[in-house]
Amino acid sequence: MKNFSIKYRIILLTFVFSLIFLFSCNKINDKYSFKKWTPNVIIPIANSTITIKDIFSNDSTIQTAPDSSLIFIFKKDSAFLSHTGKILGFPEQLAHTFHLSLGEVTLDTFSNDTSLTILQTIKYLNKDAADSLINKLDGKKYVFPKFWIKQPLSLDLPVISNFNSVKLATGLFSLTIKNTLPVTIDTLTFEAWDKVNKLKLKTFNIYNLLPGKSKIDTIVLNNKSISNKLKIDIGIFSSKGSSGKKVIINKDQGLFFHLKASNLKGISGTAIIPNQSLTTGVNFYSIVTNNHSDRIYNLKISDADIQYNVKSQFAIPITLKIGIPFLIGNQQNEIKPIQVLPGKITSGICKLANANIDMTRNPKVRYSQIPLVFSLNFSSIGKLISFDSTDFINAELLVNKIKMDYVKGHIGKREINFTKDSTNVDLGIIKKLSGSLLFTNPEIIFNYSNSFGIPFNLNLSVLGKNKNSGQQIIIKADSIPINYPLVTGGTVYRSLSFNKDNSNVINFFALKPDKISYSGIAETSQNVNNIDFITANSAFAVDIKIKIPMNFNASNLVMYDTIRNLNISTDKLPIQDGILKIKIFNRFPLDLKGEIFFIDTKNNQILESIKTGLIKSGFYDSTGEVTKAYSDSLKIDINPDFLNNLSNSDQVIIKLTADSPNNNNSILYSTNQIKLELSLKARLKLNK
Amino acid sequence: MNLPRVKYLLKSVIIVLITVIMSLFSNVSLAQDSYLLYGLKSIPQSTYLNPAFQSEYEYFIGIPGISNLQVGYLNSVTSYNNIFSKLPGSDSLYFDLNKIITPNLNKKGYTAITLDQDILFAGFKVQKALVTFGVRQRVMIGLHTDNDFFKLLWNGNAPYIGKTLNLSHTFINLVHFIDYHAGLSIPVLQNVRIGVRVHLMQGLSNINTVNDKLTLTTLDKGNNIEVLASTAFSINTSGLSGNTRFNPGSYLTNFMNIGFGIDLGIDAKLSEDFEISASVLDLGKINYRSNTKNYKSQEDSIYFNGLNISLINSSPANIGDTLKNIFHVTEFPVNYSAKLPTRLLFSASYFTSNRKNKISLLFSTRFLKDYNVAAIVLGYDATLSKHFNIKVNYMYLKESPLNIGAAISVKLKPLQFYLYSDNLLGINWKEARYIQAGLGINILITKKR
Repeated sequence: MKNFSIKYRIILLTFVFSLIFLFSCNKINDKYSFKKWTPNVIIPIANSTITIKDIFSNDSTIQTAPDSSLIFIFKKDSAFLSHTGKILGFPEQLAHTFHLSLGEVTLDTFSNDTSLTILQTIKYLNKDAADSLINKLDGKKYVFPKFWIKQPLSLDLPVISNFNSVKLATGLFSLTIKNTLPVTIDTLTFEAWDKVNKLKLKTFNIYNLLPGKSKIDTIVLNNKSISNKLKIDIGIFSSKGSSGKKVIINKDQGLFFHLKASNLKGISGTAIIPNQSLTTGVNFYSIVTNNHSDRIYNLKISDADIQYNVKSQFAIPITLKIGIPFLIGNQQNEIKPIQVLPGKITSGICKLANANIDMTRNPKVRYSQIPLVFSLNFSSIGKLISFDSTDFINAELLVNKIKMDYVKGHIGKREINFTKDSTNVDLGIIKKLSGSLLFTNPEIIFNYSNSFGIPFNLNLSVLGKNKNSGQQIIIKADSIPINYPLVTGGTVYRSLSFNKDNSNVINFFALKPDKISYSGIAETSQNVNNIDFITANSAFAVDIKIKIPMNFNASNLVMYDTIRNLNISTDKLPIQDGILKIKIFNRFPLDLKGEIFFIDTKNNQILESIKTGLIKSGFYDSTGEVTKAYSDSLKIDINPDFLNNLSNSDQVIIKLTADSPNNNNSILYSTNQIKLELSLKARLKLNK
Repeated sequence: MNLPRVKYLLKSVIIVLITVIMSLFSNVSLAQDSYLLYGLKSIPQSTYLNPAFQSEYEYFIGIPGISNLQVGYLNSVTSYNNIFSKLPGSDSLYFDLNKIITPNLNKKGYTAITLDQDILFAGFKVQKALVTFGVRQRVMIGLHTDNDFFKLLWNGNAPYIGKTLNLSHTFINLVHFIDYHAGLSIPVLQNVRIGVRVHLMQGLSNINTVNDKLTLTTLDKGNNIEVLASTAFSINTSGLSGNTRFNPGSYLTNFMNIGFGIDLGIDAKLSEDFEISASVLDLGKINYRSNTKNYKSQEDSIYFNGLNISLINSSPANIGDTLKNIFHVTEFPVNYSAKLPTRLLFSASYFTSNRKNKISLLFSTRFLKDYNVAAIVLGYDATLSKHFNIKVNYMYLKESPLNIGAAISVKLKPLQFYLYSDNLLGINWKEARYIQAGLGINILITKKR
């Protein structure tokens, strides 16, 4: 340390403190001003093009025609809509109860044979004949003696097994009597009897019945009750014999009886009921609703549910079948066999599908009837049962979920009201305009599609209303014939138009309606010769289209637009002063004047206004299309007062006035536009 | 306790306190590379400027954090007083760029701020070789400006209708990294030493601007104003926290951005009284992989004649989208590398016969993009005692021609305290374009012979 002299210490400390001073005095306490910092800037701000589509807020309402002219289009789909159900009035559910009696029961035919031999009758013969014949019954040839019976004799027929006793509606016994003697029977008289009922059925008188020959006679049993036990009482039985000739004689010779029953229909009794069907037809539903001029010839039901409840009084099980007759094509008319047990209620649901009914084949009523056929099938299976024709079944049918596929016939005179409806029409900027605006060729078009094969006329009414002014105007057209398809499944598309030639539609739109109401009545034809058709998908739908070519004459047409709750904070703009330059290129066929007002609504004071002066329309050719823009410029001085006024304003009103130049019509094209070029030249203020 | 030792310790504490106070008062904003330390071999940190330099001491270790701290500032265009001037009758200073616009017509400008701080530094001799190692924090900020940049900033574009303002040399580069370094100085001939220092660099943050072309032309075509701009301009960044909260812990421990560098040096004693030396510093680059972003204009040129907007239907969002489409700047994560600005030094020294006085001439240049910072330094070293060295120099920088620097090194065994400034005139900082200062404290140990 001793070498570290005072001199060096002074140098060191001087150096140290110099550096300390150097770095410690960096703290800057000066007052600063940036007032001289006022750079001049020139900047393009915006390059904006205002097209007609910008002005019409809803782009979809403005369309461009092939010649580039603009058309206002408004559409309302399905303004009117009517489906098959509304036209036909077909019920959603059908109910029916029917009572079906057994009626006459067919019984099986039957036959039986019996014989009366000489040996059986010999004791009833006269004595000479009896004595003679008693020794001649050995099958050899003898002279056959003359004979007659001294007293009546009775012969039982075999017991009938098909029934015990029945009351017949109809019936016929055929009785064949054959002479098996070798001689002619001169006289045979006998009676057929019901032994149980002691009822004589018939008396038979037979004469000169040659050997080996037969005689047939019948017994009519209609409306007769008969038991199964019959007999024959013979009163006269005589012959002259062989008159000296020898003939072969044996003991089995005599009379042969053959009984055959036919056409037996029982009303009641106890009998074996053979397998048989009982069918009945029912006119189930008539399509004639409230209009008696309907004539439905053909109906196709694509689907339906049939719910049934069947109760049987029959003593035997029956099978009930429900069917639809008169079906077109190879369709089965039987819906479903239903097994019904004696004394019980049978329930269930069956389907009806694709029943295409040709009602013209109904021999009773050849239209508008939906027929159903019921058939019963039953058998006592070889057993004797009691029956009565008044035995019955009760059936309740409920048909629902009916899907009608096709109707053909004459749909009688009907009136279908299309409910009054309305729609708000967005006319875009048109409704904001005041002043005179007459469109040259506006049009209201009703595009309809019709798949009903029914001729009808439409009475149409359209009401236009301006909500602001309260004014309204009506356009009407009566008995407009509506085209219809000529073939099933077809649809026709046509249009109706309200235009300047057939209506006051120009005045209609001069009103600038913002709400359109429409209503209609459709009347079907009364001509019964018309063959109409309706399918399940048939519909009559009408769309409304408003078409306004932008071809008009405008006079002092004024549009206002207001921007509220404005909040321009100009104190944040670093602008001392400057000029806002707006170059305007007008390619509209309209003379324009623009004004912008900055308003202090609290003090109800216009703080600043900017006026453009007259901006002439673009230069247009003979078609009205602008070929060259008219240009003008506007300079706005931006100074502290201007900026202050902008800050203090809370509302901006933009007023745009338009006139058709020289009172000519103006036609708007898609190429119409206003181009604005905004640039700012300003001295910036950076001296906060 | 003996009194001399107490005094010794007391002095050491006072010196350390002065150093700390200095560092607190010094706003870290000013500096450029040191020139004074070059050849000042009594200070071990002189090996930063030439790794071939030998130390006088067997062992040395820097006081952590303050073994070397230097800051610098260079502005090639202007000084404070040049842009803030007082008007007569006013006590305010007016911001006025006119003074730098007119005289520097078409001139490129450069502003640099550097900070170097040793966190750790030590060295020892192994026979005739010197080994050094350490950890160093370095910050380099370079702002390159065109004169047209100031024209646009001060005057706006209106005075330059029809002219093109060229801002192609306006960009900023920033790098902050931790340098882990190790150096070796060895004799290769009897009087010749060579040295090398390798650097492992931990990049912490970086802004690297690539400006191929940036121009602005305003045209007035009658009623239509048009702005044309070339925007071949991109910015790479890494390590900037962006919208996330800055986390010093994760910032300082991010080892994703690794770079390598090398310094080379030679020191030759041509005779007993004449030596020459040369070095190349900061040869290397850092590869950035962490939190990288590349901001680039999608188009290399922009034409703007106003927003193409609908005045009727545009919302602020639409306008924003329109502007975004015009001035569309893309942002992608892109890994990139950034070179360090290489520095070249060459020196010749003449010693008096007792080798206690030295006159040296130093040439230094640092190669920047589009700009070289070149200096010629004439210096005088004096060893006043074995405890006390001084150096004074004059330095010519073309941006700041008059720079009088001084350095002082004091050895209070075992401590060494040193201060230096390349430009003592920077004390009048409002007039200065170049300001630099540094200091440090080392512990030096020499074997007893």
